Amino acid sequence: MRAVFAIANDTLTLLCRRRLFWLNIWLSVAVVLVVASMNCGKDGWSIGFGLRSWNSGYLIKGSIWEKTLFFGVVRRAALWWVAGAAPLLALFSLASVVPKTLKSGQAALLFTKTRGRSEVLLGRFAGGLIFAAIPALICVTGLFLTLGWRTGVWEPRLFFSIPFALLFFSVVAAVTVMLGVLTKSSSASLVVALIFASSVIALQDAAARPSAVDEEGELNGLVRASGGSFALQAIAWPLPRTQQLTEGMDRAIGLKSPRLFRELIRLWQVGNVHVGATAVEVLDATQELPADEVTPLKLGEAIMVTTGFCGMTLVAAALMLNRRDL
Amino acid sequence: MSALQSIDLAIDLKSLTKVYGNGVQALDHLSMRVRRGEIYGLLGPNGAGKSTLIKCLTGLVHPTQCRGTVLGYPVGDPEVNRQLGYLPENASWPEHLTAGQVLDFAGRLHGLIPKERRRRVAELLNLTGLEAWKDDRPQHFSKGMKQRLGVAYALVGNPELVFLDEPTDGVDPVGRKEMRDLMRNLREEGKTVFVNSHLLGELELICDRMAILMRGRVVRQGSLEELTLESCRYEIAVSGNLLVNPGLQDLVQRLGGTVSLTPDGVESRIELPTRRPQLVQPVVDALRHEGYLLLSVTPARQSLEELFMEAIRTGGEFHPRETGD
Repeated sequence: MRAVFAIANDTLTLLCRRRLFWLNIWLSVAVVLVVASMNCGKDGWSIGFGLRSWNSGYLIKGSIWEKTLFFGVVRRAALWWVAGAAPLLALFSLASVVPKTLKSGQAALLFTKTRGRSEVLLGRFAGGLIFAAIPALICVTGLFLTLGWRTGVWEPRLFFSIPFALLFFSVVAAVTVMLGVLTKSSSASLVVALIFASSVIALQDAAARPSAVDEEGELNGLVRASGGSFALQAIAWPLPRTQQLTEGMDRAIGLKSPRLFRELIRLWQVGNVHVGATAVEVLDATQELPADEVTPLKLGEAIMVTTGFCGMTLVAAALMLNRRDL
Repeated sequence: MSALQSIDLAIDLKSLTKVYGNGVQALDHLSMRVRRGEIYGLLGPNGAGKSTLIKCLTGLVHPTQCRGTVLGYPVGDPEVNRQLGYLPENASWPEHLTAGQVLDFAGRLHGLIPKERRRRVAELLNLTGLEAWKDDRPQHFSKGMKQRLGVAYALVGNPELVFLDEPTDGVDPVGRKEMRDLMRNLREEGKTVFVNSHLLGELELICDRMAILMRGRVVRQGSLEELTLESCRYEIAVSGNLLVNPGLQDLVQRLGGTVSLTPDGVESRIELPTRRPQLVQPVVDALRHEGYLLLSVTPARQSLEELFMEAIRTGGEFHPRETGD
């Protein structure tokens, strides 16, 4: 196990010396700064620490829309940056690590000093995970502090976005590692892993969509719809549950807005035309928030299936590596 | 050799075959026995299978068929890795680590505790003369320095068996001498050194025993003395032309020897294929009787280079193959 830690540490050192790592860190800081630069005053709200401001009758200090704004922005920052783009950037760095490790000159140095080849693979993967966790931790800590500073809401559950982000990352990282073993090419493994990830997201999204309901409230084309849906769900079942995990993460971080964020966006656009929205308009925009669709049980299943997929992919990679001549 | 128990053997290969996926047979029922505590040299032309053999023994390449052990473990068993050190021919050093960090990393892989690691790294940097460069990255090193770092890397875990693939490649004469001394020191510590080199003179100086590998098979194996035993001969240098003396020529030919004249025609040279001085006496007596002046009587044997070249000549047609050697 010491060898696994040593290789994970080495992988982390290697990855942290790359420019992409610093780009990832600075972009994470930039995301936090953008969120922190937003502020609601008594006459409206501003961005860029007051650089650009808009008058508003509802988006003002202490209003429910202030929380809606910050909760919505922080949730999206967590989802799109922490669990989306930042792991993707980390993946670009990680993709070349395994193919380089398998090159003759490096393989001879590394694999002759470990008890099993899977130790090397596991160490590389673990190092990659820690590497992806660094920008996520920085960004989430920044968002947590910003949210507390701006709204007075100190929500520690925001940190739940990190394990979710790492779970998303571990899936594509495991696939990249396996493809790296298979092809020994960083670009090929990266491209195929990204295609795989996109396909899984699209497939899970399609499988999670409710069947269309016709005007009379019944399922439209019941046989066709259920047949297609069943087949999709069967294919999607063993694959990473991206849809459920995304919803689960949203639920886990606990930033339930008092109003729908998209309504705030709509109001803001309207508000730009009619400066200072009327109370009627604001009330019109308030809607009942939809109930959570992902139950803890479903989320648990999604986490288990996704973790299992990741583990099986790594086992497949280790088996392939063990059969290979280096 | 047959009396040796396998416990006395660091490497005991009864039959090792490797056929690559493209059908190239790199090793063909190779058998080899390396005693513990000796320096064993491996010779062979390019494509003979030397690197493939070392890779099989270190578990990097899976043999197609194998009966044999390394330090008592079946060939390919990763458990043996803890007791092996390996300097690959074309080591590619990590770009993100300095020489000291590379050795520290190797120590971590071996599970050494920090204090032990620091001590071992300092010891090896001193041994290989790299203390002054411990904070430099290996990619800026000369070939010779990289080789020395490779030797240090191989020795981090204090291995029982060390594989050195072309250890003196790119190393200057002083460095080569140091490398030879290092190998001798390892032998004195009871370690087994398995060295693969093209520099026959180097191997001749340090190896206890060696093998010549050709087309995936060991064609000769033994100590230099054993290998060159058949080539033992006596060379007699005489003033004057012996080719004009049929009686003496006849005597030499009856003993299986040859007579030749130096290009300047002043001296003659007799070669007698024997290692027994008694068989040389009749020729010496005859030369004296005829009044020739004897310049020298020297026992001689083939050099390793001559032996190697002869093995190549007699080994049949040689077709270099792409096996990664």
